[in-house]
Amino acid sequence: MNLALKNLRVLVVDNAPQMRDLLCGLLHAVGVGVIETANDGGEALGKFKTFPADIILSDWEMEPMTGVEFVQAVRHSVRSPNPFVPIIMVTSHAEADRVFEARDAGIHEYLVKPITAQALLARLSEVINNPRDFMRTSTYFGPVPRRRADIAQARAADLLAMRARAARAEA
Amino acid sequence: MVVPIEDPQIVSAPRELAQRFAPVTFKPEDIAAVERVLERFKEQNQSMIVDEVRRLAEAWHEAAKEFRADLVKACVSIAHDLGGYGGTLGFPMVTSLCRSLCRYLRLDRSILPSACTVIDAHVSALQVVATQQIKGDGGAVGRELSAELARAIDKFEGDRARAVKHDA
Repeated sequence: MNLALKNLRVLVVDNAPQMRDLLCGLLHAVGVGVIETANDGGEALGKFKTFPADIILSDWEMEPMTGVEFVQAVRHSVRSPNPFVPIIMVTSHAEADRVFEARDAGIHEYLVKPITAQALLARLSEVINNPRDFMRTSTYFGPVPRRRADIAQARAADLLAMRARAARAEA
Repeated sequence: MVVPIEDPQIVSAPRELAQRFAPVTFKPEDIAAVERVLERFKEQNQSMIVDEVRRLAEAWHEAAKEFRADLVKACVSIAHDLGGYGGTLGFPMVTSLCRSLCRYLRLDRSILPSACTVIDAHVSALQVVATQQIKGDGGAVGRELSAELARAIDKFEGDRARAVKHDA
């Protein structure tokens, strides 16, 4: 068991109790110590207000509030406790248009069921080890898409270089 | 008209998660622990595939009588979840059959009655996989099932294409 994750708080959202139990069991197996669950997006929003999740794993097909609607609410609602929280969509939808739809809603990672150990752990380590800045446009608020991440880093590096040049000039 | 490209605003996200936990590395024993949980899940839920396929067949039997939206939606829901469980429980054919089935169950209500044969073929294939406990790619039986289903799909798609052409 990975003791480093004992204080990691994860919110698991899935309408299927067996899948919820499985995800909780998998997270416990790698040492995640604090797990909360919800049956759909609406319940998850309520729980998220009192449970400060570090990471959210969410299914897509749920009623009454779907996973995508939940992601949009987390990212855009003025009452969202943390619009930046990393969200991993765990779903049976494998079609490209679904992946794009989830990405456009503002997810960090996409994991297609069936779940494998490697795929789950890779998504977890990605959101922990490689935090991404966010991007806001008139239609999108969410993590900078990976290709954009390079752009953002380049811009930040330019900015730092400019500031350094300005500081040197003043000195 | 030229649409101006919007310049996105980059917002610096909090780094608290990385500060508290990074770098996190999962060792082979972590992967093994997760795989043990998956194995236990398989052992404890072996009957789930049979039960859920039976539930799907019953739901489709009802839905196919008059194609009521709520009944068809229930079939989609069962097939979708079953697809998620299938591979996890060692039945990848269940996952691929359910993915294909959902595409047909989601057809417009006006087309759905004409898709009955192809949907029936999916449900029958799922029943064979479940009752015969066909795991992995299913070997010879799996290939035979896939070929039979492919023929039903080809026929449906061919008929549909001809109907569209005729209407045009």
